[in-house]
Amino acid sequence: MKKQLHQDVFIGFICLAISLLVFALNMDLPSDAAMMPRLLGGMLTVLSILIIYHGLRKSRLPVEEQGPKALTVDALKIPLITWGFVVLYYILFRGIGYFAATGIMIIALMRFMKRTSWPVIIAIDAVYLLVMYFVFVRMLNVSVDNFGMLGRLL
Amino acid sequence: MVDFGNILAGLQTLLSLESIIALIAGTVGGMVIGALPGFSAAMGVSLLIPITYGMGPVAALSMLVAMYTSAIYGGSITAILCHTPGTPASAATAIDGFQLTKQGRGMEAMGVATLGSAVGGTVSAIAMLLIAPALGAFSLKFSVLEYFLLSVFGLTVIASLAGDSVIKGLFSGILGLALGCVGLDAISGFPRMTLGVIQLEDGINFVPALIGLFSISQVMSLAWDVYHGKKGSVIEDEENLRKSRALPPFKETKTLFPTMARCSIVGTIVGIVPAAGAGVSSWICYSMGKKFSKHPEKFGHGALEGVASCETGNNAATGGALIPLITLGLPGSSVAAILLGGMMIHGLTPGAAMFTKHANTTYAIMIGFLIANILMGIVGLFAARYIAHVSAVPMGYLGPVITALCFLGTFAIRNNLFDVGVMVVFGLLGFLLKRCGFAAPPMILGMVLSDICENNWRRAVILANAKGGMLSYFLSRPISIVLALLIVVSLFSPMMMSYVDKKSKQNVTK
Repeated sequence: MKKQLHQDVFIGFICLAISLLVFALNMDLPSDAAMMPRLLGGMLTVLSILIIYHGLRKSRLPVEEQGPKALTVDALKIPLITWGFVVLYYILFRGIGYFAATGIMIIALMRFMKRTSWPVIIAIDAVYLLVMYFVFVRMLNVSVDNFGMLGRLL
Repeated sequence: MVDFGNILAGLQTLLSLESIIALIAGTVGGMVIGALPGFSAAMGVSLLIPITYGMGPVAALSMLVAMYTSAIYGGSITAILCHTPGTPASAATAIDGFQLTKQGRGMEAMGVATLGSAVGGTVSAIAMLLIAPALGAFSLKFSVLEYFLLSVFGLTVIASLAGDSVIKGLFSGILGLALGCVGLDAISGFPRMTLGVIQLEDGINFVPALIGLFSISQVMSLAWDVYHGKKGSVIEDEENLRKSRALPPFKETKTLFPTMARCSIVGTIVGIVPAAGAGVSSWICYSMGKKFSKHPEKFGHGALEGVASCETGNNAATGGALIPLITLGLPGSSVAAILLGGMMIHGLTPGAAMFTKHANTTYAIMIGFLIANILMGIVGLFAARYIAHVSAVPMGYLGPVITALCFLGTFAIRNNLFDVGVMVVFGLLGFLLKRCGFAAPPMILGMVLSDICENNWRRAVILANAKGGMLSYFLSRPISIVLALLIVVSLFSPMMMSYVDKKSKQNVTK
């Protein structure tokens, strides 16, 4: 029977790193201000060790009985690419403003999600932008149109 | 003593065309604003205030309170259908509500949320009408130790939100508490865990974090299914959606009434406590709903009781928050603080004069709030059958639109792109947490309660030192003793109930 370390062991070590980081970031604070973060850091450390312990117990089971792996390339690739779209959207928002960035993002993300009907994509994009502009910018005075390069130009 | 004469006079004052139109506009507008991610009840009320300048005080304040209660309810719509809480108070609703949507029962979930919200809001409105001054006096008895114990009581919910792994759930909750510590320490002013980033000195705003954890991460999760052609929409069983009704069968709906009654009372009381608010109320009521449920194992997997308890609790808190506002000028929530500004703009000063000189106006506003909750229930039940079909829209179309709405809503909170960046980061964090078996709701609860918990504890220690030590300070405060007992019961009740259940099964087999 093939055995290998359960992913929870690695996840536990990442959790342990986070808890140690919480400690490290509060080392130089006076005791009053640091009390709660250090207490929480301690609790996180204990829980991380428990996660590692349970991961090691699960590792004793054969690979077939350990259950599906949480972090695999196949499971992460598409969601992370989607997140990449979100990050690009954020960068575009900063650069060219909400409406221009949203117009581009909606088309790009719909095409990535395998929507093939261009008339529907363009219609949804246009209706969304128009409704958001009139309701939020004109009626509710949310100043999202002033942001970014195009916002400043107009 | 209830003055029915004043109540009737208030009703007469309310029955003008301007007030009725304002009430309807506030109710419907609130539902729409609340449904949009990032657009909270506070934002809706503050956006409406300039519109009320030209209105009479009754019409203006009726519209504002209608917006308040409807926006809190409106948050449940996107929470249930898209796993995107429209307001922070609906974060708990998303847990079971979205699971019901995936089962094709989104319409029923929305119906139950609507009914629960209407019941909770109506009960708190009746409490406000009948016993506001007495309840207002009760809110004055809360001090720092009571706030600390109330937040600890809220934290006992974390274990019940943990999902399959209690240890991972606790880790998530405590990490949330740690993230809530980021920023300038309220008492000493030292920056904590800000990494030199000046925007972090104000702390991590939990609304962008909430939207990222729930909504962006959900879009990422569903992208895999959509990309690989596994399913088009969030629903796993579209047949159920076709057969669905606005409310479950009466036999099943009836079983929710005790939950709604309990959560109405608890939500009203929590709402009365200044700074607690609808968000805290919804988590406390969710936990109570699970503890008192005959089927607690269903919570987190699509329990109508789960939806009913948090939605009843959060709307009951809205009326509760108005009680100290009207009687003492003490806002029970951030929205109530904005309403205080609205009241003063219209010449109303909270306090004793509200029940003497301005009695007609005050009672008119309270009755307006009551009617808004009933109207919200009617409109919501009618609209549920249509709105629920949003869940059948292919995710390939819905996902990008939700993402765009999240960006707009998050930016609109403080007109600040940093918040949008926080949302993006928490989106990734939420996705990775979910993949690794960590529940996201405990993290949000931790972030919400961190500030209340720590700051009130430290203030309580300072006060207790001046009063002869923590033990004697604690024993001198009856409400603290009651809260401490509730915490102990909350922590040990699952074990006690399991022991009692085991004993009764043994007796049956004998």
